[in-house]
Amino acid sequence: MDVLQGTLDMLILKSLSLGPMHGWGVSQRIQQISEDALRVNQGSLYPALHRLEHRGWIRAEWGTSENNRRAKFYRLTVVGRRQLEMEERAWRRFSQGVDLILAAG
Amino acid sequence: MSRWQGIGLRLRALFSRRAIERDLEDELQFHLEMEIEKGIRQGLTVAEARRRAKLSFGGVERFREETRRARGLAPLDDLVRDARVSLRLLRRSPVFTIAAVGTLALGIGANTAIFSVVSSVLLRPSPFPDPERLVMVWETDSASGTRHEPASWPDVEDFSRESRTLSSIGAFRGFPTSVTRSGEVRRVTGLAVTPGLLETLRVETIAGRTLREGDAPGGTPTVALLGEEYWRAEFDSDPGVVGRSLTINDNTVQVIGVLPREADLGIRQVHSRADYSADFAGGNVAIWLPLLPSADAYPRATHPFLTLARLAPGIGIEAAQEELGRIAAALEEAYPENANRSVNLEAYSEVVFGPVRAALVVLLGAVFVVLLIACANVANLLLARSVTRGREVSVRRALGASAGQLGRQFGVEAAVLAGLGTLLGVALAFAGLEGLLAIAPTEIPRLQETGLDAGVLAAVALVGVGVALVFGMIPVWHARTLDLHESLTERPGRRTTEGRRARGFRSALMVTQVALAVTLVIGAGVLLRSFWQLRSVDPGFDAAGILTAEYQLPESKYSTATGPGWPDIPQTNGFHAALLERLRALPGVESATISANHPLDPGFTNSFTIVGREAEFGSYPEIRIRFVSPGYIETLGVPLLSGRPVTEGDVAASPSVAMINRAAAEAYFGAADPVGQELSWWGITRQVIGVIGDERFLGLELASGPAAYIPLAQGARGQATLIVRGSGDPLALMPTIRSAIGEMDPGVPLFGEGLLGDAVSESISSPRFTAVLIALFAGVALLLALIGVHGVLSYTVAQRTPEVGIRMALGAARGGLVRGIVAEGLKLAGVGVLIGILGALAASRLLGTLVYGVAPTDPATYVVVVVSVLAAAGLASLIPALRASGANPSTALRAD
Repeated sequence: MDVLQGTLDMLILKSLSLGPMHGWGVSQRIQQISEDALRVNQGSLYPALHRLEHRGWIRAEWGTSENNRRAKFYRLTVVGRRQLEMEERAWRRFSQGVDLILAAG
Repeated sequence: MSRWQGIGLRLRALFSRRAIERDLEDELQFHLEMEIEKGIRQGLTVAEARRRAKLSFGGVERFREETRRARGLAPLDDLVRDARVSLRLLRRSPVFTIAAVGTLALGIGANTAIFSVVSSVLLRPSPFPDPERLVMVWETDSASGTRHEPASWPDVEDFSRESRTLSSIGAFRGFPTSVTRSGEVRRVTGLAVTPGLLETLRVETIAGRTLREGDAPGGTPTVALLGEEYWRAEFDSDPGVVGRSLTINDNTVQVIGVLPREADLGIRQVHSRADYSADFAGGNVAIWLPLLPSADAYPRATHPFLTLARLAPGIGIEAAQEELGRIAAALEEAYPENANRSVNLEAYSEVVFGPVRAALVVLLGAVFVVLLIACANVANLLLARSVTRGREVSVRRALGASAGQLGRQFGVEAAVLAGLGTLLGVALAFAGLEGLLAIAPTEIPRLQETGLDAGVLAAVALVGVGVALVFGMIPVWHARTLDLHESLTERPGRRTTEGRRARGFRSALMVTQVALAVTLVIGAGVLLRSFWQLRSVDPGFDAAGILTAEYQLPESKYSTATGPGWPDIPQTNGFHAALLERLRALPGVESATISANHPLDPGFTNSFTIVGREAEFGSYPEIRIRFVSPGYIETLGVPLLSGRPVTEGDVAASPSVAMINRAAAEAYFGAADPVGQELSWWGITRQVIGVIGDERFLGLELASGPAAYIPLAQGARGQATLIVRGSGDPLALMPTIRSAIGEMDPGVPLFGEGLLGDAVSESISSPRFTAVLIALFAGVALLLALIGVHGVLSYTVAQRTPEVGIRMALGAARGGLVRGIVAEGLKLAGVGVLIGILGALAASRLLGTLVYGVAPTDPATYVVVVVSVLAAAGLASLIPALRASGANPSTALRAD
């Protein structure tokens, strides 16, 4: 299942809230934590990463990966953390609402 | 991230595109490798893992683009791309590019140069605080009609004491000054000022202190201030000069301070505004001396002082005028010397800048017209280009390019053109400004401060942006009017035809250009004619071959014990006479004379009575007094109208006599012969011995006032002008003259030598400056307009080539075709000329104060300009007409 439009940014921010990570790591983390339920394809991942960087929610730095390769690491900024909290709250209210409607059936 | 970081990222994106692309590449490569490794870990073969990874990756280019967009790069990216495309396109059509950029550069360059002058002369803030509160206080004389008379010292004191509307008042007077340093005497410009003047101007010294009461005990200055430029040039900007002694006019004075260069703003203009000016060498003030006049030395009847005052807070010039008028009326009651006198207050800025404002405004207008015409030409070029590019536009629109995208492309193109034109224009202005300042007359105040400052450059940039915006719209507008279907269904290679609206726009541009050019050329014609009139004015003397030089007899040796300024008559006259004799004996000297005034120096006026007609005293204009040696009128070639001239026999001991000029004879004696009549002033009665022609000592544009010429020997003066008529090159006589004087007395400095002809031509440098520049602009404007006319018609004709071909194939006569095309050109030009005439009539009011001897609406100029412009326009249309009709009909038909 591809990630729902509009939630990708939140998922990326959430993954990065656990620690700095390169792009591939982010996609793997989302896939793992969601128990393979969600997949992020590269085509949307990298534009999203760059968009978030541009908005100042994450910051990028070149570093060395776990297998000793040069990789670009992203980490959450203070503004990004605040943004994540906001988006999480909004998402919970949204999904609660959806749950309620589904439960009512 | 802050806004700044965002901009930083964008800029980085713009300027380090390669690095960013490489980063992105690396990042994707890393991802791909991790993907492959993962596959291998899951048990796939290396090849299979790679294949799957690549497959899952999809088109890299697509999300590269998306990533770029995510970075907010797209708009900037597009602009950069558009600019690159524009530059490439412009490079590909060099003729168009050179024409457009060159035309713009010419217009913008000329505007930049003139605007720099206007900005530094008229727009730059005054160096004085609250300059709008400064007023000149002139006295008036209702009997003679004088409105700009310097004040008497007692009057200044009374104004100062009685007035509540003036917060301070100061007097000043300029004069040439001798400075003796290490034995060498140099002449510089001196200005004697009261402490009140510096207080009124509110200038501070750069070094040392300013003036105070008591600096000139007994009227003799004991201290001096240096002008900034003199201080820099002669004292190497040494602040240690304060406290040093200096020999000025044979007196030892102590330097107490240095005044900034701004302090002497406009002194020259003030002097020339006065109805009569005191001696003034001109240039920046080098030496400032204290002026602390006593009523004894300067009685109420003499009016030597220029007076400047500062209005009290909240007081307008009218209120001050009213109050001083009342004070003057009281003085008129109290003192017979003040009969008919009142005051005339004038804004200081008006006195200083008024005379040049009209000329500068006219020049600025002219140069702006040049820019407008240049813009019209560029608009024409762009329009022609967008028509030839109509097909490209149609294709792009058909392919879905939005109007916005097309507009951006054209806008960027126009911006690139305008940018290049502006840059080149500024470079032109840099070069042109030098030349401009070199020919500029010294009468323009603050000109030496002219430069391309930030304000001027900002204004130029603004013009550039405006030009880009306007021109960017032309192709966009044209693109909107294109009929998509029509232009796409035409045969390939065929030129898209111009819409009717585009043709109308083009004609309107051409009419505008012609109209603007005609207005400008008429204005220029009037100014040139006026300058020509001025040039051919008879100055009343024959300047050819005449050399003038001045000298000053040192007061220490040639003054009496009475005090400085009181020449020792035998000593002084002895020197003049001996010098004259030596000069006349020099080889190469045809004739020589000595006068107290340079022939172009107005000198001073005095009131007088005609013996036997004392009751008329004060009812006629004052008479100008000039001191001359024998041989004066013979050397200068001034005609003797009746009686006899001053001769060797008119010495101090012989009866007092005077020659008067024709203006004086007419003003005081009408048709009667004045010879034998007696005039009286300063308690001396002088018999009129002769009437001579009028010399234009007030400048070529002004008629001479009444003047009396007194024998120099009967009014001894220590300051004198040598007037020598030489054969060959008169300037070559200078060394012999110099050594002749040196042999007589090495302490007498000779200075200011020059040709009288040069002085005459210098005296009309202001109108020459205006006339030359405006003629230059008018020439450029006319040329550009004709190029415009030619361009428009060539284009129209080229469009009609097939039609012409058909008509010629059908047997139309060539002459008729040519006539038709020329007639069309003339018709449009005619409309332009008509509008131009109206413009010129409207602008003629501006020219009013600038012209001499010709009406600002001079009919002859109008006729000449109209005929020449129409002829030129006819010629400009004849070329394309001949080209079209000269074509072989079959070629013309195939051209399509």
